[in-house]
Order: sequence, then structure tokens, then C-alpha cells
Amino acid sequence: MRALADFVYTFSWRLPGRRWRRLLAFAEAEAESALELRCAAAATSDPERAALYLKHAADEARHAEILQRRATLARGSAVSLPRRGHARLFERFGEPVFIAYVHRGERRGRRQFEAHVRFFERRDPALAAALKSILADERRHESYTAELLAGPLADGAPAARRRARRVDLGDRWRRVGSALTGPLFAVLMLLLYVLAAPLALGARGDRAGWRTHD
Amino acid sequence: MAAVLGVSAHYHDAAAALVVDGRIVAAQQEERLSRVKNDPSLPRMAIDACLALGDIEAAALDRVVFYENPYRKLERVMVGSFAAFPRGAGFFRRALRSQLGDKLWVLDQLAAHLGVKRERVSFVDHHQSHAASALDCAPFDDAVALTIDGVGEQESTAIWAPADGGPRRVASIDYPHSLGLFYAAITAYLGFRVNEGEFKVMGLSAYGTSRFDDEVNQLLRVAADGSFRLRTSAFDEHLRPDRAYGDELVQLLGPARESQRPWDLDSGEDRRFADLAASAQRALEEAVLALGRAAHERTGARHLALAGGVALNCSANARLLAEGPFERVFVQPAAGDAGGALGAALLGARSEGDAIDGRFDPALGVAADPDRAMAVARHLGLNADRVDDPEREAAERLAGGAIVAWVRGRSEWGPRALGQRSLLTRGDDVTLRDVLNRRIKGREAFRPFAPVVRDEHASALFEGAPNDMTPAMTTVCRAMDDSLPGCTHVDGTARVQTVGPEGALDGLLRAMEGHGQRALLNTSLNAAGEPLVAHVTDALDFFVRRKPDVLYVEDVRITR
Repeated sequence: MRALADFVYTFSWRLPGRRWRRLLAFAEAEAESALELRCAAAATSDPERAALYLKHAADEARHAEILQRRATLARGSAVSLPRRGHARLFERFGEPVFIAYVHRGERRGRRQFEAHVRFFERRDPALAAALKSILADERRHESYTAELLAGPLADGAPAARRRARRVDLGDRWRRVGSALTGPLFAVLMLLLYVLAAPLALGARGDRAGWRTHD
Repeated sequence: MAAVLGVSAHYHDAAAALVVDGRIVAAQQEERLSRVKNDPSLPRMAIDACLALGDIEAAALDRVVFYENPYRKLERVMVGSFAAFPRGAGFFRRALRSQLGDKLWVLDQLAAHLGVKRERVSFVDHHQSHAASALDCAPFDDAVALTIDGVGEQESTAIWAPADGGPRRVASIDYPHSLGLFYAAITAYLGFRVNEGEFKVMGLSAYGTSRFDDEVNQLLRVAADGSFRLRTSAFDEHLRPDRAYGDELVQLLGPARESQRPWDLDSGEDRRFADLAASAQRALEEAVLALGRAAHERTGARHLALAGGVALNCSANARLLAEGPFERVFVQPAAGDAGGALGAALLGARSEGDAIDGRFDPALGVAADPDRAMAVARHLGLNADRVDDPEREAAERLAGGAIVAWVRGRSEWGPRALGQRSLLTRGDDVTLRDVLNRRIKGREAFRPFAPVVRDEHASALFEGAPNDMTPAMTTVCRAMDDSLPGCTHVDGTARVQTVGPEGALDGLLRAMEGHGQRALLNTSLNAAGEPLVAHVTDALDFFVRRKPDVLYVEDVRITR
């Protein structure tokens, strides 16, 4: 089972030119997670949990920096993080579902990072060490979110876990759907663009100067 | 008597604003709450925050007004992509995806989020929103509004006269002839992020010599009637919005700068880019001056109210006041697209029959909660306690060379920290400036900081201060001497903030006077690439990560 997981998680490392892109994608995910956690810290009514979320956010931001630096090294030239939004899970689903979702993500991340560390231990020890430092944090995050779900957020935790699973599956479905339908959409839009090309004849020219309004 | 919510979204810097009975009750940019810089998404958090600040339920809203016409915008985008046939195919695909996926349904999205009937949600014109925000918030009558940005539905620039139902359009210039587009292209060419790095271009320009005027004047030409024309073949905004410039611009100006390379203004290559920034800034200022003169000629108004993203160019604003035909000039502080939300709400209030209350204080966002700050800080392992006189104590620390994070009252509307969410230090010490730039903010070394001074000392320290723009830092003034090197730019100007007796920093500045300091360096409480802090948890997050010496949240002092 572990061999299969290792193969699945590390497959794309084997593809030429993929390393920096994948590291950058990890950095993006960590940066987005940091933003999400800062919003959660602002939104939760409990100051202790707000502090936990802020500490977690600081870890995620640090991970993003480490991974971005590694992506730069792997590429051989600087890479910047594209700026994206985040899913606003706390705002959409409330705190228990948010934490259940974060817990799922941390558990999955921990498993993946274990596989990545095994993969790079001999191939690239420096990268393996960087990933190992992140892995230690992932374990801690997995643990504290589990404690929250068993403790202060225990009321309704099973339902929150089920909802988080549905949200997670929905996200994956949309990602797969987008990947599958993207090319079809591109072809259809190209066709529409060509068919509508005569409209270009009626397109207004770039009129300069003042237009006066009565 | 009506409650009206204005909203801007889906381009960049989304926001919400609430006007109740003609009075501005709340205004909040989404980025401050989502922590996504220039967040363009539907501002759900900002909407909810405004309603909470106004203590009003969504069901009690009489109108919800979106800041632009989404259908005319779609038309312009489609026409642009067809006009660029066949090169516009990729843009057409991306544009339809975002238009059909989100933008076209914005009125329905607002109705669904608020749980109000769709009929209660309407829209106004983009530039009219800007104009309303400027005219209604201006501290004077007998004014004309000038709105200058990248593009609205079709216009990039417009002159507006006040009228009973809202600003009346006098004259306009259509996209793609756009000063916002011109400056965005230069911003991207210099390796900065469009819609964010424009401030950096302005700061950089002071280091350069405008030796590329001839080349830049081929890109942007000002006409005798005050209008302007872009060499549109050099710009690619509608095909590559993240870059905005085309190959022809590169042929004219030379290779563009790589975005990630650190700046070294001693190198010949980066000197060239600084010189280009200087020429671009000069060209923009000349164009803005010409527009101002045209607005005056067409209306005869004595005063000018400015809005639109280009109105955030404080160097251009300063020249407009100094060399233009107007006695007074005012800039609505959130002059970019965020400000459209405020204008939309004001227009909605007018259409409901309300008279607009012109009093305007930019502290319109979420409030600081010192009790919560203290509780969260202690769980973070920080020292947090109440102090009797935070101004006096902070002044002592500042006099000793501390860098102080300062959180007071409701957060600022617009891009500038005005004392509600500020980082402060002494303005007479360049070492502190450099520490602030490098260690705390993580910014490029060439970016200047701004001074803050009480009204009564402003004229002694800065030429032309105070004026209608200095309370919100939307202009620059020349420093009288070199006593504030930490917050005076290399060209001898400063983006000074002046503070009246009601200002958030008045007490602290008074306390500083006891230490022989009449001004402080005031910069935004955020790191490079991040939105300004709003909630106290964001302030704590910043304090832990970036390590200023002390954080004051009202009367709560937080140290490590």
C-alpha cells in the first residue's frame, strides 16, 4: 500500500521539468492556507483558537517561503507566487466544518510529504531536509485539529467531518471537471470566435479625443 | 430616508459601502478582511461588515447598487476581442469564461447573498460612481469632478458637473485612450504588478532623469484641447491584461525589466529604468494638468474633485493644485475601484430622495477590539496589559527610536494608513527608515515613507500644507528643510499627512512635541504585498511575524 502511495504521490517528480512547478504549486497551497487561517483567526469567537490559527498561519506562510525558494533553486531562476484567493471555508461553512476540512488537508499533506521525503532522501538530501522540516509541522497541525474536533468543537463534529468530506470531494470533482472540460470549452470558444469574426468589421475604431455630452 | 448599499467587484479591489439617510455609515474593502491583496471577488465579507457596522439587516436595505454596468462592460470586452481578430482568440476565451462564470451575474449574486429581491439590486455607470464619490465627499461646493482610470464600461476619463440627481457627464474620452492603461503598461514594463506597483513607479521616478521624454511622448500625446491620445499599437491591455504593453513598446523603449530581480539603482541598467519611470511620470503629470485645464474651461468651476485610479498619483495631484486653474483640489481617498462602491451607494441614496451629508471621515471600516487583542495576545505568549496613557508612553518609546504598531478605532478607507492602522517611528532618522523598509516591511529600498504632522505645524515643515488633500495623503508637498530625512523623498517632497484635533494621531503627535519632535514617519501596518491590517488578529499576526518593537491596540500595550 505504501509503495502504491509513494508511486502516486511522487510520480510527477519523475517527469522532466516538473520539479519547480510542483514545488511552486505546493507553495501556493501553503500561502492560500495561511490566508484562510488568518481569516479564521479573525472570525472565531474563541481567543485561544484564534491564537492557534495564527500560529498555524505563520507556519504555512513559512512553508510557502521555503517551497518558493526551493522552486527557484530547482528552476534556476526566480519564481513568484501567483496571487489567488482562497475558499473562505470558515465564512461559508462555519468553524467545525472548517477545522474538519483543515484536518483532512493536513492528514493528506502529511502522507504526501512522507512520500516526498522518502523519494528525495537519496536523490536530493537538501530538498528532503526542507520537506522534513515542513512534515514536522504538518504532524503538529494534524494533531491539534484532531484535538479541537474531539474537544471544544466536538458538538456536531461527526456531521462536520462528513460535510468536510463532501466539500473536499466537491473540490476535487470541480478540479477534474475543469481539467476535462477546459479543452472542450477552448475549442467551442475558438469556433464561436471564428463564426462571429464578421462582427470585427463592425467593431468601433479607437476614437481619440473628447466626446461631448449634452 | 433610505439605507443603500453600494458594491464594487470583479475587477480589482472589491468593496462595499453603506449610506443611511444620506450619511456615510461604513465602507470596507474586501482585501482587508479576506487578506487577499486587491481582492476582486464579490465582497461578501465587506458587505456583512458594513451591515454590522450600520447595525442593519439586509432585509432593511432599500437599494443595493453595483458600481458599473456589467452588460456594457461585456459588450466592450467582446468588441475589443473581435477588433483584435485573430489575435484576440485567447482573450475572447478567457473573457467569456470569467464573464459567463461570474461577472455577468453579479446582480443576482448580490441578491442571493443578501437574501433580497433581485428588483432591489441595480447598477450605475462606473465613472459616474467615481464622480459621485469625489463630489459628495469634497469639502467644498462649486466644483467639477474629473475621473481618470484604466477603463470603466467604455470611458477612461470624464468631466462631471454636479447636478441634483447625481453628477452630470460633460465630456469624456474613450478607451483604449487611457492614462490608467498607459501607467499600467509602464508599471508592468518596469517589472511591477499591474494595479499594485503603480505607487512604486511613482516613487522610482524621483530617482531618474527624464531623458526618455521623446520616446514616451510617442506613446502618449496631449492635444491642444486637453485630451490625449495613446499609440494604441504599443499597448496590449485587452489581450494581455497582466502586462498591458505590446512588442512595439519594447521596440521603442528597449527590453523590459525582469520582475524578480532586486533593484540596484547604482547599476546602469536600473538607472535606465528609473529614467524611464521619470519620463513616464512626467508625461502623466502633463496629461493630468491638461485634463484639469480642460475641465475648468468647460465648466468654469473654482474647485476640483478627483477620483479614479490615476487620482492616486499624488505627485500629479500636487502639480494640479500648484499649476492648474483650481483654487482647491480634493481626492476621494479610495479613488480606485473600491471607491466606486461608495459612489454607487451615494447615487442610490440620491435616487431614493435623500440629501447627501457631505461630512466625510475615512475611518469607515471595522473597529479595533482591545479586549480581544489582549486575550489573543496572551494565548500567543505575548505580554499584554492596559496602560493609562498610551500616547505618552508610545511617545517615549518613539523618542527612544522604537518602531511602533498603532491600532486605533475603525480602519481606514483607501490605500493609506491614516493613524488607525499605522506603523510609526521617528522621521528624523534614516537608519530607522531603512530598518523599517528592509526588516519590517520587506519593501524595495527606493520606496519613500510619509510624514504625519499636526495641522498647526504643517506649514512650517511643508510648503502648501495643510490643504484639502493632505488629511488623506493624496498629494505631496516640498519639505521646508532637511530635518525629516527618514520621510522625505529623494526629490525633496513628502506625501505628508496633516492631522486635525479629531485625528487618530493628534494625541500622539502632541506627546511627541514634548520630545522635540513635530512629525512622525507614518506607514501602513502591513508587509509588502499584503493588504493593510483591519482586525486586531491581523495586527497581532503582523506583530509576531515582522517584529516591530511594540503594538498598541487602543490602550492595550503588547510586547514580546
